[in-house]
Amino acid sequence: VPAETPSLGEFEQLVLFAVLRLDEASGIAIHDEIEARTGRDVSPGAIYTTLGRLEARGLVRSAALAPQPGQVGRPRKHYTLQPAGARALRAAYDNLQALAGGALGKLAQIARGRS
Amino acid sequence: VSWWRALLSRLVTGRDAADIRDDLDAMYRRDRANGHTALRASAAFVRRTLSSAWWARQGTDVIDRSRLSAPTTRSLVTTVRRLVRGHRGYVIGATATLAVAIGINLLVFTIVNALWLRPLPFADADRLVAIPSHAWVRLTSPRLRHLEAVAGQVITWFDSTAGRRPRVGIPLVNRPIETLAVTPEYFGFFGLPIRGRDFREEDDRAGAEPVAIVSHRLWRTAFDGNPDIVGTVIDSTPVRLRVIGIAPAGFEGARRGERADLWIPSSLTSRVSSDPGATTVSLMAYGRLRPGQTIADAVQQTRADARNERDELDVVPLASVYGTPESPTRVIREGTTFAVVAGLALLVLVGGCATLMTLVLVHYERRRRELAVRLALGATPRHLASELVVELGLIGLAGILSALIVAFWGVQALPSLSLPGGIDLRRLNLSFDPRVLAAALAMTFGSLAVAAWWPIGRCTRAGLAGDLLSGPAPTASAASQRLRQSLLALQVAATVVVLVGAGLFVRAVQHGFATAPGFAVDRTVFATIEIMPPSGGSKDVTAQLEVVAERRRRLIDAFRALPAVEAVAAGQPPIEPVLAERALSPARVTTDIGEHELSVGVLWGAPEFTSALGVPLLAGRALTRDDVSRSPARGLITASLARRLWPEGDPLGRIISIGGGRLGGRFEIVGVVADVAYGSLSAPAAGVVFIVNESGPRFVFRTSTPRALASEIRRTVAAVVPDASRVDVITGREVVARDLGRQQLGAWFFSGFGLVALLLGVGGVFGLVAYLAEARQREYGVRLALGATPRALVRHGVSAALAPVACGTVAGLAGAGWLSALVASLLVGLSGLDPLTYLAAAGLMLAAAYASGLSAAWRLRRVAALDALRQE
Repeated sequence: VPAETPSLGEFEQLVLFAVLRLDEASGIAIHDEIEARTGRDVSPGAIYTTLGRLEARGLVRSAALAPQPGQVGRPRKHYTLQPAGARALRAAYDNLQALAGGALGKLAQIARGRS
Repeated sequence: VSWWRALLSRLVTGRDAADIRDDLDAMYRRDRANGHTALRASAAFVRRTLSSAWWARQGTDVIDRSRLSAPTTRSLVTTVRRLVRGHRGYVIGATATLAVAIGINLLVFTIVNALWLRPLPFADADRLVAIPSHAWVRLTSPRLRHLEAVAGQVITWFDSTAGRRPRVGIPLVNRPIETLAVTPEYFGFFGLPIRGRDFREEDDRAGAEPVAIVSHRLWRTAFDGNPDIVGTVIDSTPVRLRVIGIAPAGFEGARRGERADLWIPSSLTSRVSSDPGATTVSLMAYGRLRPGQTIADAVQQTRADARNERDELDVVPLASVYGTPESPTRVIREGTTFAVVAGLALLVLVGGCATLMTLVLVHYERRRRELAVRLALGATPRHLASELVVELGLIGLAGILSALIVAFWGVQALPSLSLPGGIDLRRLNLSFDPRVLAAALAMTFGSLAVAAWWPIGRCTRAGLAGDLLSGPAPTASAASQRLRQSLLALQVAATVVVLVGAGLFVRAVQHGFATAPGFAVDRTVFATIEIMPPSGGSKDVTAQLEVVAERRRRLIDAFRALPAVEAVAAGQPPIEPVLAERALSPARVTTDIGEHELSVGVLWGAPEFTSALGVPLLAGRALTRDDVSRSPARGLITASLARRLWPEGDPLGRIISIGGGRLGGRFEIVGVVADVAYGSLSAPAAGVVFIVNESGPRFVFRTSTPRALASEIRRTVAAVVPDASRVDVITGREVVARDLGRQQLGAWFFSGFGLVALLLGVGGVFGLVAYLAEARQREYGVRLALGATPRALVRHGVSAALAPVACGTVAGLAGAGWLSALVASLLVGLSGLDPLTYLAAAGLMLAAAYASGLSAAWRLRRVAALDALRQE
């Protein structure tokens, strides 16, 4: 792992992928994306805390968007992926692939209960 | 945003908290919209909120583990762990006490709220009155004008219980569609905005196109919320209907309990009703009071205007009316019942708080040594005190949560019970009221604070060193023991009050069904059958009356032929709301030997009326058909009235003259019958005079199978006079049950509360005795060593609790005697100071306390003298 790419936790990777897919994403949209694709119902608190951490590390950036004309409510934060975030995500994914490559057959075997 | 979600989501604090709270609420609403049940969506909401709160607490840098062990988090975790591991009994006891006491209160006030307090879903509801009356036969314009004079603007609607319930089917909707037939401008009357238009006069004319207004609920479920439904014709059965409007959301009828799906104009009733042969319908009315007019004014005016009893109308606030298509309209009179039930729930809460306080006191009594050691080891008093506060807060929170679970479960389970009087809880809005929860929270934390005041005060005092010296077994200080005993006494007193109340109501109901009515409650059936002359017949009034009389004779013959009928006679039930009003107003009663101000009822019927009722003749002779034509009319008098009017002499052959109003008259007494209640069982008239008059539409039947006979009577009427304009059949037991509705409600509530209060009281006694048994182990060891028997020890242990229980019982009996004046008016034939009830309540309390104390002290039999002494 190159020194300049920060390491990412599993949940951070999920959140970053969701932000990547959605371009400019609100917290609830990220929640929905993760839930729809992984079936995990994560709490908004977890998402915002993770986003806050990622933002502090410069991997995402947030901007408060005023409500659309015709909508009501407070300005809501929307998150976009930053170049550093993209690099970190790419690296994390590559690492995973590098380790997983060629081992998936064995994985399936063990999962079926045979050594 | 619902209050509880707002409250719960406040747990989430820190960065982005507002965003998180918004998202939590949005997710909840989306779950609901996706068809999740309220329970499931709420559970998901709680789970997400708690998880969010935990995450938000971690801050952005989760990797920094040091934050996890920050002082607040650590002390919280330690406190919880210590409480759960070391003091499981205390935690379970306190939580269960709170759960029961507060849960039951939440439940009761939820019902009370749904029945009486919840505002109706339209503006200005306090100016609206209902005019429910069994006397409504048909709507005539003079009657309408009369009503308008009474109550300003008037709207009428059809009482769907009159056997002509409209039945409409809608394709793809499998449940029965609740349909109400109403007169024009129905929605305008309530000031409700309607999508589409209201009913107009022309919709109500014969031959007009069949139209309907659908409820918001039906529109959402059956028509997918499609606004284009307005103006279209739907494939309903038995008549295709054009939808002209959609009612606003939340409005499903003006009465509590109404869940209407569909409104149709009144002229459609005969085309869609289950009994198409019906020509007339039973009507009810709502009125809007004129500015400045009160309900009392309106009632007075109807009384003054009424020409006879059948014209008399009742005017009641709309908010107190309950009605469904299946059960008769009921007026839920607030006032006494509400005060009693609310007071009762509060008594249980007080009992629960007393138990809680005992538990807290006992708990910290046990931990005195531990606290002293910690102080000695250098913990600051402040630190200890804050830890105790956190502990109590956690207990309170756990208690409130369990109470919510109890109440939530109760609300789910309750609808399977139905309240006396046919009130169906499934039809009421049983959502929680935040005010009740807030009061319960305040009570819980208030009593926790009071209970903890003393132990916390001790921590902050420096002189705990003495506790270190007092040995391994803590001894209760005299002050705390006195406090505990007074708490137990208070709780026992509250329990005894509730038990006495339960006993009084149960006995009143028993008495009300057994002896108070005076007639054979379980062997009678009453019917009202109005027979009209056939339309298109002779215009001659005499000829018409002849036809009616002939049909009536045929009907009575058919009744006599029924195998279940032992006797049938013209006559009305002696207990009825209309008569009850009359029983309250005394008249001038004159006899040959004096004058009295008495309320005396007059009942008309066939000569066989009294024997059909099962009222025995005590002296003189029965009435005959000839007696009606004599002047003065001849009558029978009830025994206690006879004794009152002629204390010394024989009433037979005397003349009684009842003055005042349309019910007066002069009667010659030819016989004396046993006492019969007239009006209402809780305030019956002083006596009754029976006279012969067979013309009325009311009948009484004597039978050994009342319920079966009731349906046979309906069938017979349908066969013999199919066009009868009104057929009401009610058994004697139902007559009494209707009159005793409030007493039954009281018995139901008091008994439930009594059980809970007794359980709490038993728990309190058990806790006190068990604690003392433990605290005095050393003393008991010494006693054993000195030759006391284990049996004597048990007796000694139990006696510690019996003194406060006895004091509490005496105080409770005194309190119940004082409070019984509140319910005295509801007690039928029973004094509020009924000695048997008081004895039974005191006996039950003492026996339960003794049993509980005995089981708590039982362990003293196993105290080994050496073990106890070795601890020295």
